[in-house]
Amino acid sequence: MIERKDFVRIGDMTLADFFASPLQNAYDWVVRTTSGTSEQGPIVSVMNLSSGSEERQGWYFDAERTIICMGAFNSRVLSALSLDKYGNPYTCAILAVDYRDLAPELTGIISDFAPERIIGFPSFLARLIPYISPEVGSGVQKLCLGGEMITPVLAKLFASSFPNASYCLLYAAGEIGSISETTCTYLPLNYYHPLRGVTIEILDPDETGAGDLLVSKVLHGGISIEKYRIGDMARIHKNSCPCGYNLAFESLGRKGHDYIKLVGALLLRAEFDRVAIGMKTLFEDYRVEASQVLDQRTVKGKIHIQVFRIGLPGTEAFTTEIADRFSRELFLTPSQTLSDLVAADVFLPLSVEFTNVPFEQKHKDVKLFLKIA
Amino acid sequence: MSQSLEAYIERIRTSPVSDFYSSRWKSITDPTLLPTISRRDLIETPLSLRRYERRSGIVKVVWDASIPFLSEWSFTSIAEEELGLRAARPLIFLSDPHEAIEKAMWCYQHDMVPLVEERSSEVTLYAARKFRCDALITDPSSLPRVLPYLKGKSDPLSSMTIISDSFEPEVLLPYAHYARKIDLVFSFPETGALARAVLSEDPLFTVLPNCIVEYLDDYLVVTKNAPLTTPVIRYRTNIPAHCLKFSEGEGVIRDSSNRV
Ligand SMILES: [Zn+2]
Repeated sequence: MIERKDFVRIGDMTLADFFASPLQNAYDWVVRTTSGTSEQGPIVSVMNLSSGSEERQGWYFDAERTIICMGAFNSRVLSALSLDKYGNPYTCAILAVDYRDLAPELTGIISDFAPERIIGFPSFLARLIPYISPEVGSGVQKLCLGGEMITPVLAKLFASSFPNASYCLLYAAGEIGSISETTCTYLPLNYYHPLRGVTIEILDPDETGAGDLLVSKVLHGGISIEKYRIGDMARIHKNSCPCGYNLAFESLGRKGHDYIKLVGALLLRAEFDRVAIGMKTLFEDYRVEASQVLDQRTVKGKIHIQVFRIGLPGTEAFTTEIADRFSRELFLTPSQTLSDLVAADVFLPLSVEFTNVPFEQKHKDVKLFLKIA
Repeated sequence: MSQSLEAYIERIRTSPVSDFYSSRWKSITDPTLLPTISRRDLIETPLSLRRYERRSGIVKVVWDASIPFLSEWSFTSIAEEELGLRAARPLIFLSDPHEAIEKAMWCYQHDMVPLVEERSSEVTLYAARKFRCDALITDPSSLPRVLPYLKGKSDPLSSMTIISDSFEPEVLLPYAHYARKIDLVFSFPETGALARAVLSEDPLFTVLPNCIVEYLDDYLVVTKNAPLTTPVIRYRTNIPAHCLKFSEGEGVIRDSSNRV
């Protein structure tokens, strides 16, 4: 089995392969960088686009006025290259929105651009929606999204903001590219057919069949990755689909190994541990449940922490103290604490609940949990 | 002004697609007497009403103004930009996220595979070491962020292009030994590259082919004789004429106000 930390080495192999062969066509190559999220450093790899990226055509083929909402610049570059290659040669125009663009004037700018399609990450799109007028939203025909789950909260927001848009979804990861075909119209949201040539398995499935998704795929240059634990939970469904496939997988999202991405913030297990250690006289163990909530047309983050303590029941003063300290000390971006993000209306205030029942050790040591419903 | 510029202006005047210029030019036909336009005109006119052609490309948000506006660039026009960089793996560090994507596409069109700065410059510099970046496209405000990479390299970059609308040589000169060749490119997001100089204590800019720089009422007015999606004809900049030194020659008009 390959873990994310092994990918540093696999990235190096793709780089070695790139340096070893003379450059035939720059358009075939994109440098991918994934920032390190906890213990391991960043992953740097080179992706070859001459093969294995055709499934993305569903996103780019015939595209006209397209907004790209992707946080990583290397993803924006990959999209711009793909739109140049597959988009309508006369009318394809790309507006790659950046977080720095999210200001009141953006509403007028997007109306002027009048997008027909949006390509990107669901969470980035959720942040962009307050800047998209209802008229412009009605003009969007296609939402090409990937990289994250479409939670029910997001699905509801997208349906009301883009009443005429159809989905074209893709399950993919920056470091290995596409894992699924684009959406099959017969499948429910967050269900995918694996991409041809990609093998998927579930590690240690529970009684419902849910477990860690393992992906095997051959990258360019013959570099194959076997049983890569991508960090998401999934379930396999072996029913035959009217489209002809007889295998699908249901993405259950990231069930918190090291981190959860939520409303543009990064919830790091190590950061929760750091703050929790400072309060070890107050509680023994904790679990974090993160979720999205819809507030008008804005998706906000919500964090609920359960703390376990043997013996005495927790008083209100006790949970208030823990909530205060987590809010003040926990960093969710490099420079902002949870308190800062609550003040900025990005997160709801933290809630803390006391329990005197030890936590189940079902999924080993999972302390971060993203609640989907 | 060259014959081809007159032909180009005539084409814009009679364009069935947009009347952005013709409505401002009215009956004036002498190219040297056409009224200037400025950012104000771009801000006040939606992109859809000042677009003169339909070709696939990139639309940028220009924030560097009182009110943001859109600037559209076809891939063909981006390719024709003269940034004076030849390398294999350029590193792109630009403070404007839209410029960064556009310059990345420019690199691809010139057969280079670029690496663009991510939100974490630390991660990007780590990647630049692994990808062995051999050139740099940057702007004066981003340059300090690249310094750890430049310092860590045993040999200088093959070339460096610094893009901006103004330059302070004394701030940039300390970087001179980090690249074999450093070009300053005078540019605005909405006009593209206009002139280029080699970095020195007193840089002397050469106006790029198909570009015209005029001194008008002490400000620089620029024109691009190139079929752009949003053409640039007698575009009045906010750059005082004395801020840049231009070499004599084609493309420089010293005092337009005397011509009337
Ligand atoms: Zn199907």
